[in-house]
Amino acid sequence: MLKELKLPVLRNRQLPVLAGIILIMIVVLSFMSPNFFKIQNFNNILLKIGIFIIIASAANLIMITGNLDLSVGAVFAFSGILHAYMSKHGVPIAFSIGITCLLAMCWGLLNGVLVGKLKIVPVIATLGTLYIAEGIAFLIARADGGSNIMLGLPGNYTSFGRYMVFGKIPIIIVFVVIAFFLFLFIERKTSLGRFSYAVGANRSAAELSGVNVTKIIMILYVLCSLMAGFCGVLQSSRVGLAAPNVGRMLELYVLIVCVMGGTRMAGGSGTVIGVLLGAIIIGLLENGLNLLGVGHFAQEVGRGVVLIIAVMVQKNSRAVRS
Amino acid sequence: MKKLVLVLLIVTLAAALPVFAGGGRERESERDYDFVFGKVPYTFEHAYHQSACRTLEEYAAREYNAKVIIIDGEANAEVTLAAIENLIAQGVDAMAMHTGDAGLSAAAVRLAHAANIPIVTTLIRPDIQTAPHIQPMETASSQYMGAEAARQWKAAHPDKPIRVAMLNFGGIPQIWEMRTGAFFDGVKSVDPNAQLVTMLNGYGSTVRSMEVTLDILQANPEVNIIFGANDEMALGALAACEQLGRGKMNDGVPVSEIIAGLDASSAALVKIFDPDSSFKLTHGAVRDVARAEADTMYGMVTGAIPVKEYFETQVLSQPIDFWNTSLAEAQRFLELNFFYTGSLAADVDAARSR
Repeated sequence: MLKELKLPVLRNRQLPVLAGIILIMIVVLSFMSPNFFKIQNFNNILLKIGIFIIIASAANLIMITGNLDLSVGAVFAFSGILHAYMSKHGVPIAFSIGITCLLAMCWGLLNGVLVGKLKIVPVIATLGTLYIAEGIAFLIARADGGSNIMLGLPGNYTSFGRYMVFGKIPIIIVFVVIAFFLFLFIERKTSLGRFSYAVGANRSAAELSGVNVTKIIMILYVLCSLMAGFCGVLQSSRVGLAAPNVGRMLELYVLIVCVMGGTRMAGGSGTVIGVLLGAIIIGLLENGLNLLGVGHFAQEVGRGVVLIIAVMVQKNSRAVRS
Repeated sequence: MKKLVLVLLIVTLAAALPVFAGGGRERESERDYDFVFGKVPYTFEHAYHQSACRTLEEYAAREYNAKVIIIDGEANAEVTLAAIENLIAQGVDAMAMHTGDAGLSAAAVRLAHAANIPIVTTLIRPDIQTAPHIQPMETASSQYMGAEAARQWKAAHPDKPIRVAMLNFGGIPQIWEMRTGAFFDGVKSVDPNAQLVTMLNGYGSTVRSMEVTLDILQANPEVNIIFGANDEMALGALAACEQLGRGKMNDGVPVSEIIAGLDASSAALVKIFDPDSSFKLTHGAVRDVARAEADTMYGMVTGAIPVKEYFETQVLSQPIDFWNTSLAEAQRFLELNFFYTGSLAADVDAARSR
């Protein structure tokens, strides 16, 4: 029965609209800023949105099941701080990355138990995890003696985050590509992906069909926290310091990227391709406003206007086609 | 299952908290204090405010036998005002606040005075001037930094025009007067043709500033002086420059740009004293500001200082830069202001080896 489900991902007609919006933004920004249409700038944009894409690719699957993870920013910050703390105190970098990723998965497991097993509303459950993880991140930083961890990090701390593959491609971009194809594969070729859509479309029907909904939700939360934790390590290594406040608003960006990419908050539809396109729109918007030197308050207005327009255009395209 | 998870959670937190909270410190409740002061810092997320609060606690206890209750303002107007109300409810003898909003400062002063509690404000002057105020002399130090940065750039590259970019906090008008604007005035005092090409919000954050600086340098690659309105933002600007293959100096001689910050934290000074890094100037005052707050609160409580009269206690914000400050002076500054116990020279060497 499940194999016969018509997956919304295959019927998604919003993607051309998103691609159109991106094209328009690129054309307009190319005319407005002479420094926009350059490889270095696209590199900057990808570096900026890389973290969003990796985390949102996993968070998107959670949203497809009709759930939500607000703790990604806090897990991101916690992992960066923990990795820096361990590296500073003699734990070998590779070992520290491994431990951090394992502990990040524990946050996901906690979320999974709270939401999947104990049936606590995802917003409240993951908000609770957010507060705990962020609080512990601040406590670790304070235990280290400051507001962030920078001094005393080992000489090779930044080697991972700043590594250039083939001497040219930042490693974050490589991980973005890997994450994109990994989640595209999960989404389309695995039972985990198919069951996620089934749970989001009709949880009761999925349960009656024999899908272990609790297990699916727990796996997805663990996967999402793993991505958030790994990105926390990556970001901390790239910047060369760890701060407990770096994940603030990250959960909101991830949410925006998913919704803009066409994922329904009620669940049942969405695709990692949409996430990628949504993230590119956000990246182009922020980059364009900065290149044009638009002031802070005007940027806030511009960001809000473009986001609303993009979502409205998408919504209209969905209504017209249906 | 629910009970088990709950119990596990509580046990874990209960076990972890004393570890992180520094359980070795003297138990406050065992001591009898003569006064109870309150303090609302801008945000505990900044090294500056953590050190300022710690200095205030230790100094007030030592000099005035006063306990200090600290409630984080979390860089948020509502939270700051709630913290003031909380301190009023606790009936503190006097309070100090440091916020980025002049209107909020005024509201806090009104609330405190209505409850007959003396209050002293710090850094951002309130809209109404009816309470003592501590003013770090940032304007003069920012001007000095701007002038020094411009001098160093012109000495190394007399033929390259100065182009300045700045990272600020977005919406604090007095930051222009004390930091960004004053810095640019300093630059212009050396080179009247210098241009401010852009000023964007770095959100006070290293990561956000790194991303914004990448965009700034993409749009304006000719930028050669960057000022971050705090050290976190300056460090973000440096990280962005390094990613682009910039951010370097040749034994203190500018190559691609000069970066300046503010607060003089240990993380900043490690970069500043690295002869190969382009982050080269900062200024800050932690200890003296905290002491001035404690002195003023004590003065108001004992009647030596009028509670409802405005006057400014000015505190030097000490400039520190690679060219004019010795490593020993910087080491001493960190020890006095940031409870620094390491060796700055060793930390600089370790950072250079990265």
